[in-house]
Amino acid sequence: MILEMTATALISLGGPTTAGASDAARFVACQAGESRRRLQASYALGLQSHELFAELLGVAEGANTPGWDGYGAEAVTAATYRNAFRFIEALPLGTRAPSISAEPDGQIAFEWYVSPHRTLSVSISPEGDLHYSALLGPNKAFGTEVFLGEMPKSVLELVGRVHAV
Amino acid sequence: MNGQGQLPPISLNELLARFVTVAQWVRSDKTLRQDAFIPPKDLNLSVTRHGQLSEAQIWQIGQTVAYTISEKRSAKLFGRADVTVADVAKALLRTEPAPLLNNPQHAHITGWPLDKPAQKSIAQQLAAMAVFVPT
Repeated sequence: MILEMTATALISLGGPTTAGASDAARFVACQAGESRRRLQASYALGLQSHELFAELLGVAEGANTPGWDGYGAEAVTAATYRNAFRFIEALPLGTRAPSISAEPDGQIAFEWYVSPHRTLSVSISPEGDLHYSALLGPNKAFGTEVFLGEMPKSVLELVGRVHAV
Repeated sequence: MNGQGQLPPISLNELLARFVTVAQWVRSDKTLRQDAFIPPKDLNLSVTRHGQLSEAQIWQIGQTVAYTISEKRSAKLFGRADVTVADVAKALLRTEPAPLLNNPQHAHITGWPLDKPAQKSIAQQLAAMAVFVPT
């Protein structure tokens, strides 16, 4: 099916930013990004990005004043919101949709969850750092990756491991 | 003791309540997300010692927390996350009394690492051990 072939090609391109130097490379990257956004919006490939963007907006609005959690939390800033938006855009098509929440330090967290002992949480900071932590049965994994517009392989691998039976 | 006067020292089998004022902290299966236990910038995570308080007194304190927020935004108390002091110790953290004028049972979970990923990992472990009690 053409749609599937196109999607596969776009998945391999990763996120919306591509480090091409020429005008042609930039044009291709731009077109790929636009096509990718249209495909995500179609719901046809599993990643319900409409709902994710709406969920992100709701979370950010609910945490836009200091102390929003009753314990002195920091507000979610515009920079964090922008980075979280780009993070959703960078999710490869077909990725299971995470749930979204705000953390007391003002970062936005994306969670992939199977059970309390099989879960991955990825926070995005205003500076664009991705702080992740996973519980995989008796094992733990955590660390930091810089978000440059594409999903780091280490994070994608953890998404897969959380959902692996 | 009913929350008044000198409190006994904190014991390992004591229960601690983290009031849940954010809907997203609780999943649809009534388990808790790590977000409920991510420490604030000062690394003092607020909890309330159950001590000898009755259920009604615990919920009253929770309502006060929710009321504090409602001055800034619409807020609701969804429930509480209960963990034991032993659970906190298992996560290599400490529980220290931090009484407040309106909540003498208030305490802090302290000893958090400075880096965010390690904080998240510990918060995940605490969330996995915690029990959600809805209002």
